[in-house]
Amino acid sequence: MSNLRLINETTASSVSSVSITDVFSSDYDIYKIEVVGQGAGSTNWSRLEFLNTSGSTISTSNYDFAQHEIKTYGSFSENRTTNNSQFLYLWIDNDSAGGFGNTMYVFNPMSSAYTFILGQSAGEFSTSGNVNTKYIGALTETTQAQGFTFVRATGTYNNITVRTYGLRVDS
Amino acid sequence: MSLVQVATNTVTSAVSSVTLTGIDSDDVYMVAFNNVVGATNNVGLQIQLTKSGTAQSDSEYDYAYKNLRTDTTFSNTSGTNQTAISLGNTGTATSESSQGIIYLYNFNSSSEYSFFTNETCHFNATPFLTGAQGGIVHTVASASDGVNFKMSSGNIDSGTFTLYKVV
Amino acid sequence: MSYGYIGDTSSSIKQQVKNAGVLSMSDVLDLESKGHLGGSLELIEEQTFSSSVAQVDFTSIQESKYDVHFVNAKVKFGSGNSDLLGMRFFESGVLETASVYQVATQNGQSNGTFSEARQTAFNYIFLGETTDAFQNVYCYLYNLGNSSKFSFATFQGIHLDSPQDAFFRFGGAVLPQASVVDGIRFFGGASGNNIGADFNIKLYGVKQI
Repeated sequence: MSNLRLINETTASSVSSVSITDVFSSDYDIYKIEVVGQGAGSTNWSRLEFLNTSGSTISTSNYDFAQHEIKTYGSFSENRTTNNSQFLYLWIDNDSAGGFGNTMYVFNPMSSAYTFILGQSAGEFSTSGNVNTKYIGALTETTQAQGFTFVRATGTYNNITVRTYGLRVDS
Repeated sequence: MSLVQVATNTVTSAVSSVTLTGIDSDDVYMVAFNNVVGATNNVGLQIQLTKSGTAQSDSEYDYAYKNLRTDTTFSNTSGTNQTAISLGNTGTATSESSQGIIYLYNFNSSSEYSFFTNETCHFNATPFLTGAQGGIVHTVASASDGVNFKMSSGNIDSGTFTLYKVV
Repeated sequence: MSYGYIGDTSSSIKQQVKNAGVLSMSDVLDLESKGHLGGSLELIEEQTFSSSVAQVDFTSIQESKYDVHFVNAKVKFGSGNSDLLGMRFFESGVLETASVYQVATQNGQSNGTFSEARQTAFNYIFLGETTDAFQNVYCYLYNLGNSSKFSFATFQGIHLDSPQDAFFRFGGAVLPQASVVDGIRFFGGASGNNIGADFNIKLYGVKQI
């Protein structure tokens, strides 16, 4: 049996955010999340926040994030945030360009330690061109997370599909 | 078919190193680790490869990575002829830990070097978030059968390390 | 539903509720429909060859089945040859060779040289380069089969540069055309060198329901 197991697939359209609930459990320490979709309206970044075991957003200012912005049309840049209420700048997209893709890992969401993320994405910034990212993040509190929400900074997603996989360890 | 577990080790009391072996095919392999904390504050989690189950400390590791970090401008780290490669520092508190994904290429080849890509994230003892994104080459053309993790100083206090074959 | 329960009444199984642990066909169908059966990296095709080839084409990539593909590649060019490992896409069976790809990579070498590489109008996606040693790279491909979206890639790789510096490259790319990509070509992008013998490229679909 494979050790990478599909847990949840969620598709939405015309939404400003999409929540994936009850996907993290004590069954796995490491999760892989794939996201594809297309934004609507003006160019915007997508953000991530975790949900606690009651299903409420963890909105404390304890999200730390560092992202390398790898652009095709200009010098690369860095996006660093600490003590924020979300992870910012995961991927960028707009509807005049065709979509985005994102692959990330989430570590320890249900443990008594911090929750970490590690990921990469490809998207488009307006008519300027392709923007790719490489990023890391940590929720610097020990609140357990059972799910997460992707939020478009402004505007909506025309469509978005999120697939969550568990990386199983057989001890 | 997909990812097939080859070896795993969960550390619950201090150990000097963690070795995962079982690479015996030309497939690509992947290592995942999480919640790794050292017994000594602010030391690096290091990786080496193994040959016939023995960790290699032979000054043959060349590497480079981009350090993403939250405290200041991103930095670059590189070097040649190292005895082991540090992936990033941890502290001793529970959440001052390391996690990461490492792909292993050509390990089983007796005529090629062994290659790693590394993507890691750590919350160190300062504390700030940092992560090494890059790669490593062990410049010895002989087969390798696994990886060895250790701290640059002191023991590994906790963590889970798992080796998978990508089939 | 209690999976595996097929009402075994033999004495070989001593349980409160008899359960042979065998999945019935309906169990299998139910689990499959929910994505719980089978691996999540589904191998579509593996290509390897004992002699060098001009290019490696994947032309049955099941683009309508997968939103996300994954590639693992180990490639080197012939003895003494240096080249960039290039990737191009087929759109409805026609290889896109025009200067329409956009690519950006962060590069770093063990000799301390770090650099950015970027192109806004290139005729292929460069995944890495190598001389006399393997270029090892993984790559995620997004939206290939979606006619209303561009086709994107993110990748990370490690190889040896000349003269034998460890060289990493990570980044991303796009073919900014809303089209169906139904094939992928790997080849020597900069100099047209043959891909040497003993390469191995595996294409996977990332499981979806």
